[in-house]
Amino acid sequence: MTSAIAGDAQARHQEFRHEALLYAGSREFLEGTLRFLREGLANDEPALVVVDTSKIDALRAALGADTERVQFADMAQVGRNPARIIHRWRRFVDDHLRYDRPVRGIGEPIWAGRGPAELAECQAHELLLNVAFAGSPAWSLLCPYDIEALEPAVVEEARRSHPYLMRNGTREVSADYTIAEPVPVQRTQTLPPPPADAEQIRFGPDPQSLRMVRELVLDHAARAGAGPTTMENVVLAVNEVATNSLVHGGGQGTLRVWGEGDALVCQVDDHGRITGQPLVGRLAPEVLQDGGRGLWMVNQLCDLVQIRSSAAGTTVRLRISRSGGPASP
Amino acid sequence: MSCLDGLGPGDHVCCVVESPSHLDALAAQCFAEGAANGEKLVRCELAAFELALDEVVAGLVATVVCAYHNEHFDPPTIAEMVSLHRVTVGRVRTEPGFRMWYVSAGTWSVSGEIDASNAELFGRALTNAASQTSQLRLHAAGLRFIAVAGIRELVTLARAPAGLRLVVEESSPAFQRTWQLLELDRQLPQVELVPTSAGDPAAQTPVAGWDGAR
Repeated sequence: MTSAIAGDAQARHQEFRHEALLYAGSREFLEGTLRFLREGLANDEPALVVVDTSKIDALRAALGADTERVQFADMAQVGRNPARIIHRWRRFVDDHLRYDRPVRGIGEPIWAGRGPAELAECQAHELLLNVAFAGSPAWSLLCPYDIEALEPAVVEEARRSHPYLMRNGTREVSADYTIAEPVPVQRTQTLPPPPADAEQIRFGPDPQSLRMVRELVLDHAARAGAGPTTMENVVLAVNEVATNSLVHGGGQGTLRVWGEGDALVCQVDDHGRITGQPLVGRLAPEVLQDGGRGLWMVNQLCDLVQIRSSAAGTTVRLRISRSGGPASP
Repeated sequence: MSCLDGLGPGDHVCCVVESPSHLDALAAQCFAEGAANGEKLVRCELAAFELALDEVVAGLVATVVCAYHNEHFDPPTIAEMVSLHRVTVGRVRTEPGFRMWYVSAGTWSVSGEIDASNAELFGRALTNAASQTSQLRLHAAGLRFIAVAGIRELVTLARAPAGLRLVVEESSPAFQRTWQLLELDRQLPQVELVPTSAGDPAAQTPVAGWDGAR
């Protein structure tokens, strides 16, 4: 932390400002978020709030007539797969940012009900926001963290992933913030092993191998009672991941499929290694680009995508709810 | 025609043969049967012009059987030729996974599954089909699966020749969802995806017919 950075924090910000709002209880949540929104409304700044529906209701009630000037979206939908959230912010910023008129966002991707796998991906998402909007023009994103309900380690991670912290109306530079490792550390963490009874096949350069991959997934999904849209989505997603193994991952791989509660889980392992590309699959592909569409599709189709890559190889684990829920662009 | 199941006048058949005598026997049977019914049959053996031929044959009241000897062509070539015929007979060693055939001027049908293993073949068939027209209509009722690799071929085609309009008819919900999730509906207005409707005459299905080699 230097005094120059602290000085910037006081001045009107010129670039992306990503800050965590550490709150205890709903009163502190409302105070912190309303202060932030009203600051923006005073300057006629567009704002998007992505939190849960009960908080949306509370904010609407408190904003009164100003509600019309703020957009709201349900984080349970937008952040169902946390890897889809950056695109939502990107689109909002692109649509609304004008010269000399910043925009504001409030996003709460992490809440106490998130399971450990989701939580790890949300934490990766928080880190990647700094990469996605580095050098981006002035906009502010406030990320509320419920310090009463969340584990202390989760709040500690918020201090590492956010350059600024807000607490009781005071902004401070986070001494723990690090941007030295923009690729989320989670990418090298190992996942819990698949169950021993997971169905598995190896696939390789044979022209029929992708069809075999699709048939195994379809068969498993059908036996698990998945609806037609879910079956199509999981087949599309696994086909793209297996294609990546054939094209980039050494030309072969192993597919494992199993069930976990309501979820179908599919995992593809290969001997390739993903280096760099921290935002792969998170930004909408351009029509002119050659590759990079596969993982984007996978993120749109699945509820959770866990990518782990090291010298030993790459693992991509997909989770999709059997009862489904429409994948929306 | 009983020697080639599912076949009628105006069809263009890919016949994968094992030996000259195998072809002779098959041809003799076809000609005899055709003559008995007063039908015209044309025997030829060629490697190129299959797509153009498809167009010509559809205009004739004739059946054209294109023979590919398993010993004379490598498996990828035979796979490509098989993909360009609605009807296939014989023992196909390398299944291309999809079929694309002529329906009427500027209109083609595609069926099967397209993924990274056959997307390049699909791209070549598309390029050929689009070369004679400013609007390509593609009936996709029989297309059970299309991966991003196949979508990429459609994108390449839609972007390449200036002014080509592409209409994909009978596109499945999964096809349309993929297109929208890739935001191509916003980026490629020259491509129109029309959803499935009932009773389309072009929605023929491919025929894997008589297999004399087994």
